[in-house]
Amino acid sequence: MSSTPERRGAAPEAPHREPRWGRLYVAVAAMLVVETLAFWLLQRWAA
Amino acid sequence: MGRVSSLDWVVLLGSVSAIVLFGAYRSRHVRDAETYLRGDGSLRWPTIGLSIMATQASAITFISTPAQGYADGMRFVQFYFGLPLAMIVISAVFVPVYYRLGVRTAYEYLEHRFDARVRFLGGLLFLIGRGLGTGITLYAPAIILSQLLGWPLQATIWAIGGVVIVYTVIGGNQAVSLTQKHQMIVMLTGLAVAAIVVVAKLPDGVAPGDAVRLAGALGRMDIVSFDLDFASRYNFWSGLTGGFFLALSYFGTDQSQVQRYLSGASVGESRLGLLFNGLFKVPMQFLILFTGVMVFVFYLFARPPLHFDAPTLERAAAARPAEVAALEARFDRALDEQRTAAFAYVASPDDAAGQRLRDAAKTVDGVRADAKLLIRDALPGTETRDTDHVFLSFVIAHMPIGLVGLLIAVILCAAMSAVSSGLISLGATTTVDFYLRARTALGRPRASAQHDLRASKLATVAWGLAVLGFASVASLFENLIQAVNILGSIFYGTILGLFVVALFLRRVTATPVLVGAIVAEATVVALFFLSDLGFLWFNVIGCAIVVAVSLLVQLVLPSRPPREV
Repeated sequence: MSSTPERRGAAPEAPHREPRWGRLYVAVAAMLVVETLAFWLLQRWAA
Repeated sequence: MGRVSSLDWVVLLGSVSAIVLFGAYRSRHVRDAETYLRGDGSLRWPTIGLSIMATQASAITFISTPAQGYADGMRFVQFYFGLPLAMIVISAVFVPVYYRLGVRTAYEYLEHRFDARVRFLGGLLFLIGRGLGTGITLYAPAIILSQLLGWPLQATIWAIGGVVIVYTVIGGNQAVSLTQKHQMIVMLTGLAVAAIVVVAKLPDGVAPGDAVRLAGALGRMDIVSFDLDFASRYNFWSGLTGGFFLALSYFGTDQSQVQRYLSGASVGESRLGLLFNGLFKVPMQFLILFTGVMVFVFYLFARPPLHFDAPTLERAAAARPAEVAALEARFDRALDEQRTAAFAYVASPDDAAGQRLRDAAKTVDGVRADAKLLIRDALPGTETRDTDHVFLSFVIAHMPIGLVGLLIAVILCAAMSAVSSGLISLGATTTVDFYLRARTALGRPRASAQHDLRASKLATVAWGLAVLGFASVASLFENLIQAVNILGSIFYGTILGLFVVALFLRRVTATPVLVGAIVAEATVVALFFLSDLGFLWFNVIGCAIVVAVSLLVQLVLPSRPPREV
């Protein structure tokens, strides 16, 4: 494995992992769709 | 009411005071206005998320929302469908801009983008709406708790308000966030416990599934409606659009919320806190409403009071004893029939049993309506609406010892959390957008950090006393309370319009947006007095007018390059 400039110096800090915001936004919106569907099914079952 | 035991008092006072003392202790080293108004910038997303939820969850949420479930069923949950989408927009657009500019208040951004006039207008609309709103946030639970528990109203208001002022002034924004985190944990725990207990208290032979079917047969499980009906207050479409605009305005531009997430350690922490709210708000509201629905099913089998506002019923019984006794006897017969019909429906949930149950419930409702007529007749001018008493009345009468204290703690925590974020945001806006800005405008030299801190604390105390004063006299102006509740929506649309133009219409400058805001506010106020339009629509209309008018005025004004922010 080739040695990068970062590797040659002091031990690198753990990279700061920024969340993948786009995916999180889609997940929050998808949760709303799932909730709506679950509510609708519960309503149908209770009727 | 004598059902609040010593153990309940220990749970109540222990939980509330431990939270307050912990929050004040942990944030006691406030040295300057910056730390007082923003905190030490160390907060992670769980604290931010819970703090955001606690700010919105006032005591009314835990008093009126179960009552809404009891009386009207689950459909109110649709009101929150726009909220997760608003959280996404605020995370993606608003938060990075606020952080990049390092603003302490949302209205500071308006000056960066436009000029000081727009900042003052935004700040002023906020101070009026939030100042009055915080007074009601304090008054509403105090009146219910005082009636139900026999506490003196004024003492209840001043005790809750006094404690909040003290810990808010000691620890500032950091104390508000830390206490809110624990207050929200108490609220969620109490809510979950209440839901479990009410289901566990259903009679033998009635499973949770049966309870849901009973609620469905009596129209309490109509959760989602996809009918595009503008006359209906709650449906999927109005919840998604009206709820989106309301949430965008409230969470994106109301300082009481903006200050919550600006106290985060980074843009990422603030965003995650907002998305946490977006994920859990709808399930939380569902659970609160569902608890109310289960209380309704519980009272199909157990005897509810003829009227949930017990002191009012007692006064009516003292004035008209024979008539109230006759109504109670009629009520017992109607309840017996309803109970039999409910058991029959559980045994065999067919159409005929469902119809019999609905007929029996209608008879019970009829006796209740007659009781309200009798109260109105016997005690002219008395409020006959008793739905806000349903949940606490159930708690006092049927919750096990210890849990009564926990549930009252939930109401107190909710009241304190909403009032504290109201006070710190009112103090911040008054100090940053008015006092310190006026000093700059007048050419005064920059004051010491100590001076700014004293000014911030003084502004918080002043608003605390104003809010206490308003809450104390609110009972004299019953009709005003409804107006104050709607007041938020009268201003929110215009404020949101200012921010939408600021963030999305880069070429629009200060004067056009000011003209747009004034036209929008005048139109919304006129619509409020002259039309029957649902108040949720004011948010959409106010925002749309600011955008449209400012674009039009910008067209006729000589163009200038926009400010880069």
